[in-house]
Amino acid sequence: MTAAPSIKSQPVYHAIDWDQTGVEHLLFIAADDPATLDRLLANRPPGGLTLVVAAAEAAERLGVAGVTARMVIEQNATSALHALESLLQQATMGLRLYLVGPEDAIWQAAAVATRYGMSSAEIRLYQTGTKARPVFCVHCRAMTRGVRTNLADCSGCGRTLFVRDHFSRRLGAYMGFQIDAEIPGEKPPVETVYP
Amino acid sequence: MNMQLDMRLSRIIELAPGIREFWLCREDGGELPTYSGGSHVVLSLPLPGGIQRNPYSLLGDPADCNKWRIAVRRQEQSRGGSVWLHDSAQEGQALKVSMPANLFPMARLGRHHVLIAGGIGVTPMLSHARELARLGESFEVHYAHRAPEFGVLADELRTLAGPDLHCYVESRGETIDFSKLLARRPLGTHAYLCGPQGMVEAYHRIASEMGWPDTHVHSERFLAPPPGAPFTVRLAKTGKAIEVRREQSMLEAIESSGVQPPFLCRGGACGQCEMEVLDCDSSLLHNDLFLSQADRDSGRKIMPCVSRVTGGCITVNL
Amino acid sequence: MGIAFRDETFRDTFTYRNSDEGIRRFPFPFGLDQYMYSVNIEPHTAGKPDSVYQYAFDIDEHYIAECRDRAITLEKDPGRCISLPHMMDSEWDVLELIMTSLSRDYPEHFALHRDGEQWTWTNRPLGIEQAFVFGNAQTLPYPPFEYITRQTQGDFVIMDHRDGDLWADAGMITSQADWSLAFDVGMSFKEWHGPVPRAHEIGVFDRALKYLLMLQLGNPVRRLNWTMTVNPRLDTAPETYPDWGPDRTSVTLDNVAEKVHLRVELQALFRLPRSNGILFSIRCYMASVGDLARYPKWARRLHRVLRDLPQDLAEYKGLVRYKPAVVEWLSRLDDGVPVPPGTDPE
Repeated sequence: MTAAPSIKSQPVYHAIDWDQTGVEHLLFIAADDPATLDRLLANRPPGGLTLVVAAAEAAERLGVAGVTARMVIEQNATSALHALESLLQQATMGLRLYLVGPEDAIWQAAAVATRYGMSSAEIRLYQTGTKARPVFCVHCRAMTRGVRTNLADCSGCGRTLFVRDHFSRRLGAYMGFQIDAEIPGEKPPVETVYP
Repeated sequence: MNMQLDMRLSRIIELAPGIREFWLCREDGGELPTYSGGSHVVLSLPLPGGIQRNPYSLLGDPADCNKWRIAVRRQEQSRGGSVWLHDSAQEGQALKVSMPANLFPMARLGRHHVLIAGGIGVTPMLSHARELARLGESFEVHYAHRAPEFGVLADELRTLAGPDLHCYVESRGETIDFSKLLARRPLGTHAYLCGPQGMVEAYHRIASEMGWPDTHVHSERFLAPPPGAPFTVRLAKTGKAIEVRREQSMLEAIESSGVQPPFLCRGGACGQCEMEVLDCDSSLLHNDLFLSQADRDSGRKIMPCVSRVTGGCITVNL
Repeated sequence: MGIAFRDETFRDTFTYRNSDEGIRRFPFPFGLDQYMYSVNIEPHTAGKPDSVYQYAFDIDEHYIAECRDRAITLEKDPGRCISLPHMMDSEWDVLELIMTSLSRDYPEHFALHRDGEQWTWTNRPLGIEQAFVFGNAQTLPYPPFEYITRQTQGDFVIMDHRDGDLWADAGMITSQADWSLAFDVGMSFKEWHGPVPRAHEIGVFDRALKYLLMLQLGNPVRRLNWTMTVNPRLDTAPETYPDWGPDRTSVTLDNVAEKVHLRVELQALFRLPRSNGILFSIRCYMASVGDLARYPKWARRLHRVLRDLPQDLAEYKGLVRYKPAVVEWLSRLDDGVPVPPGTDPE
């Protein structure tokens, strides 16, 4: 368990569990997390269950384990999001969505669900896998993905951005601003903070 | 501070046996503010025993700035407000009316809206239908009433909803089957209901069984303050002791003494009138929809618009 | 009641100045020698004549210059005005509210003629005469919210009320104290207030949210917020931080009085009728430390508040680099005489 965040917009992830109030369940997996996934699948909720798996190791392991659920296996996060969207287009009220994986993937998936009118009461998120962050540059509005360090060079304008803990659920990203705006060239040391 | 407008009943229309429509205009002939679908206003009714304040949904066109329209069913088993409106109120009657407030708004991010009305509960559904039609949103209406002559305002609904209006006439054996109505609805569907208590309870129970989250299941229920044994309420800051009569709510009794606590819905749903209980020598009777079980158990909070105590004296921090 | 509109700049040449009247009516926010967050909300009722609280939306001597500066900011960055798709009803609500307020309160400058849905809006200071159909965005040169806020001083956020929360789903933000609309749009109340230190822990936002959810039509409320800026620059957005950030290192004891400005936000909140949303207006007032110090009471009070400001608040408000110089300069005007509670200049 991590300490409470200093910036209140930063998401806090609790151990994920089935929502017993739902009658249909969709589990979106973007990173393998055997402890979490095995625990969940050992204790299936009543109602239908579909898995959308965008992580090769998870797909292989779950396939071998003979999970009796509808499984949609995708090669990468992008095609997994398309698959998710197709499923949501046909889904009906009573569905609960569970998003397990790195923050980048799970918040992009949450954005798809929001477009289909799902509320936070129907969606549960759990961060696992890499802690790398997507960073939104407040100066040029470009998104720089896979950031593991406190500072990152913006993929759009090249500025060195400080990666804040202020998080936008709509963008699914953390805020980045130029670290040496006041005194150009004066930057703190780079550290790997989000491995 | 609750703003009140000086208004008058400019027209009374018999819609059906025991159902009347009332038009409200400003005393000074000025324009009325517009409002959102689902809004209600609170009328201060000058009953012989004292002012009774009751909420009523606005059912008319919000763009009509000359009048507000409400509809009221005459209820025998009531504290007298609807009886007074049916039996005593005349066109021209002056009334104080609050500004519109909305505790039953439309979900703007919804992809489809299912409006369900039971009896006089059609009034807020009509204003929702107007708004949804104006915005070009996808919606349907289901209107259950006792007998054909009680399908009041159905023609206005028909104009707004066309073939998406479905009527259920009880006298013909037609009833709403919630498990059918709520089945296989696409994600992002919102349901709204206003009707009698039994209907509201069945709706919530079935929606929940079908896995609908609370965020998509809306209902409006105005509780009438239930009567009870008389008691005394003491205002701690002034020491004033006020008698609460059997048919009078605690809030109304406090208001009759000249104090103006904040309120919004008058029906135990919104939390605005919440008061701190400092002392009570009998038991609290919580009749509201707002306080959590923990708050109720603490004995330190009460909603004076609908809740009471079993006798004796309650002291509140006013 | 004439307003002598000033011709001044809020960037580059920074010719912005307050008249004596401008300083006298400045909403000095410190009633005590120490500052801490609170839910300092009060009814936004008609305040003292000639004060910033007199009218729903305050128009002052900087009106024309501020509108011009907003237009420049929007030209460079249209992304400072955003309105999510479901917010159109609230946009019309805001247009109606501002037009009816300004024409009622400043009849010599603004006029509104309404014939059913056919409206005609007159803005004499900006030389605008606009006939349009209320409810039909095609009949205006900009979408309604952008249209009217281009003609009003201060920033605006429209909050959508849903799911027991308030969501910042539209905004015109060109004079903000360092927050990004493009990043924050769509956030809930506590999310967009996320970066504010301490306030969450002492429950300020819980209480504020609960209070605002009950905000009623016809009963607006207001409060003050404050920070400081080097140079009278309106556009201190994160977006343009590289432009104004270096100014923070340019403060010396010799230039504190002219360069460093107290920046006060008069925030007002109005329930909106059609959308049931809430308009959050953020009206920015700036006065140089030197001008404020002309009132000894303010000099003493400002000195004490800044001297004792907790470090995390100073960091959050971006004052750290130049606060020592300001405190040093003001200390020479503080003789330690007690100042009674209250914000009046004398």
